[in-house]
Amino acid sequence: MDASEREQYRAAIQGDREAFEMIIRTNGRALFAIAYGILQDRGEAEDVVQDSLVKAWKTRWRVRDPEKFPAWLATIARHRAHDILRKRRPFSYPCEGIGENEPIDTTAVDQKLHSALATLPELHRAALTLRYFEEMDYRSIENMLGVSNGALRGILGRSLACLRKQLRPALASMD
Amino acid sequence: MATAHNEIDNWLAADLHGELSADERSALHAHLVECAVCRKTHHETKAMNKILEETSLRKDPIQLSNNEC
Repeated sequence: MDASEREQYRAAIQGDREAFEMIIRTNGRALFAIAYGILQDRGEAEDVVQDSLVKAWKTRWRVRDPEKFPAWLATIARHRAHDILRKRRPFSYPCEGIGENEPIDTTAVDQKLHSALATLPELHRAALTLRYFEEMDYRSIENMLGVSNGALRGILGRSLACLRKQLRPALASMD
Repeated sequence: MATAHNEIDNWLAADLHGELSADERSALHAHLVECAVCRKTHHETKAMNKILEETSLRKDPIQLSNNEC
């Protein structure tokens, strides 16, 4: 986080609405990605973003270190998404092959990928979503999820490994 | 101490994402020359990365969840 970003977060914490709106524009898609990674539902993920931003504005004074603001926002969104998830369905993530004998085509690959993503822990799905769909670099993802570089490497490495094991037949067809 | 072989999944992902240091990248690719197991993992991980990149270009995560093409 550079000095101007830090100042922006500091101003938002102190009640500057313009600074907070800039933070919303900067972090909105990432918060959506995190919520979507947990809920896999657009409407609910949008609700989570809205609820999280309202809560963040009301309780912003709790953040002492402006550099922690993105991770704090992400934590609020994750907790809110989990609240909704708990009311909806149980969670499990077996890392086993899915339909390995089915024919491979683009539609089938997409469906298998979706099924495989759903088996990952939510933090792993959030990291993958931020990397591939938001095209964020590791440093930005670390700040957003509040994890170290080593932890993020492990998360993305294990996630790709789990996905490639589940999609192995599709990968073989790409030779 | 972390080595490319012991943490091959993490190193391969970081390499594909352009997040390895120059030294790490050199060490990884030197290891791939001599380790057939890791070369196979590298091959599969590259293919998996390609699927994710192509999917992210064609769709957003919302569309993916709806299984639309």
